[in-house]
Amino acid sequence: MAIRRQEDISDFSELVAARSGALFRTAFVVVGDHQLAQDLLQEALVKAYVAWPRLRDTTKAEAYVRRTIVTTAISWRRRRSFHEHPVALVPDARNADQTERLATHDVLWEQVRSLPTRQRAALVLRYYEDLSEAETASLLGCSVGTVKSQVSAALGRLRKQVRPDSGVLLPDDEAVTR
Amino acid sequence: MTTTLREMLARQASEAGPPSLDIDELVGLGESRLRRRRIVTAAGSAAVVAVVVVTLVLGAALHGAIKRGDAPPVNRPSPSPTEPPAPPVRQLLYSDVPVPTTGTWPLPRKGTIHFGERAIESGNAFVHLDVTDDGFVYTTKDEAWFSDGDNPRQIGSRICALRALRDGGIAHMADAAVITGTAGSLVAWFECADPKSTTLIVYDTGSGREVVRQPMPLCDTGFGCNLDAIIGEHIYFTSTRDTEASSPRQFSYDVTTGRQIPATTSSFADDVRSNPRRLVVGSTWATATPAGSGGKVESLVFRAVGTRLTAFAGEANGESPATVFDTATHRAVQLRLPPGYHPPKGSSYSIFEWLDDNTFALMPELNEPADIITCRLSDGRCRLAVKAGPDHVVRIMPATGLPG
Repeated sequence: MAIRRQEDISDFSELVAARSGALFRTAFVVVGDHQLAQDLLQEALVKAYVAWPRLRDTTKAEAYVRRTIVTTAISWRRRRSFHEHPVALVPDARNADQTERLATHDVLWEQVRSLPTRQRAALVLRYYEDLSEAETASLLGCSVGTVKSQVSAALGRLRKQVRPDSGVLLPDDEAVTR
Repeated sequence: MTTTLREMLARQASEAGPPSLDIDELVGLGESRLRRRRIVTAAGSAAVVAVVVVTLVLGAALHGAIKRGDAPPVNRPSPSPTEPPAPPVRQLLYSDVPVPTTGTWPLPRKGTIHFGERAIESGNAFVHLDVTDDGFVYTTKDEAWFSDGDNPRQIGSRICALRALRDGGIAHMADAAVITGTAGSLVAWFECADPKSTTLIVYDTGSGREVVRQPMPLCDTGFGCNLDAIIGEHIYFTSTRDTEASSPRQFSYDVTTGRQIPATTSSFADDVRSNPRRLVVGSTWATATPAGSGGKVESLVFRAVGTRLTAFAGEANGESPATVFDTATHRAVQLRLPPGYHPPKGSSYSIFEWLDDNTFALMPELNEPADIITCRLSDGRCRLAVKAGPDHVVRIMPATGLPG
């Protein structure tokens, strides 16, 4: 017999049906690996199921799952049970066909994947989820200053790898261009 | 052409596609965690109650003893949780043994044994490996050793199936000289202290002691007895003595009751089907039977077909794709190759270890890179767990003997 009430189970099922696509996309850009993203989402959803009575509404539950995705990804990396192997050498942007948008995307994606997990998570929350620095800090469980330094370090690393004429516009550049 | 970080992340995210989630499975996993949490809480509460009660009893008894000058009687309450805790997750076990540069394989050989994240030097050369819930077992020339990941200790000697090795010959049944179950702590072997008498030994690696020492006169003739399997508390073995065709050949020894009864193909199949961590072959769960137990299906392997690992059943007239069912859930098993993993076409894999009720490890057939793959039954996802070692080593997994 189920421990959770039938009403809770159907609310949980609704959350999975409605939001698992978006949550999966977040997991994927955080870990950069399809299978790990699946594992991560499954783990986060199971944790949400266990914690369901505390979450009450679906908005709160979605935020909880998103937070769990990010924090679990970071802890997996810390425990070294993370099976992703970041590329030892970042592909040289100069070798890519920089006249093609797709190639530029791929080069930048490889570089984002090679970032440390915490930096990558901060970058994803800021520039994919469009969260504010305060919201990112709350989700990562750190201070706004830490978010700033993580994002700055991530962008600094990406700038080093990207030639100015590569066609990649990183956030500061965007701001200037706009 | 320019691109922004936002655009790139949005494009990658959109290419991720939809997740493959099974709500029933998520609910099942959640429920199972909730149940485990309740058990732990109940056990914790019982332990606290037990400590308080023991303290009170001791205090009262000591008080009484001081008054009377007697030793206090102590009655310790034993908390009994309503459900047994989930069995532990087993560690992946293998060893990479250097290939000799000249001559043939001398047996046994030394090598580093990998047990989970630990690497253990066996210290003495070994013939084969096996695993229990508490650690791993390995055999040397005619001895059995156990390690929980630290210093190995000897648990048995004079193992019948390894006698030939000790005498410098070939031990044909070396990989089944000592067997373990897919779950639990039991290890079994036949001991031949005296060349004319055979004794069944069952050792519990959890309690660290022998739990059975049973003379087996029916194994004293012919080529003795071969161990087949440990299913739950039952040790299955086959006698090789030359008897009438109608006489039973396979037997089951119940560790709990000490009873030994003849086994049949169907009684063995029933036992297999009622325990987790087994796969059975058939068109439906109701008709599925274990492979290699005297039934129609003699062997079971998984072959790489496209992006899937497809089950193939070997029968007397050849091999064909088959449906296999997991005995824990009674569900049909469907496995996918790890994403981006491309083994040689037609590569085949067989199960060598169950890590828990939902996960097992597969090894490739001989002459293929000895990558270790682990697969989850719940969603059919597999991953490359350990890549093959360099060319100059051969990989040994549980229940497989050294080559040669």
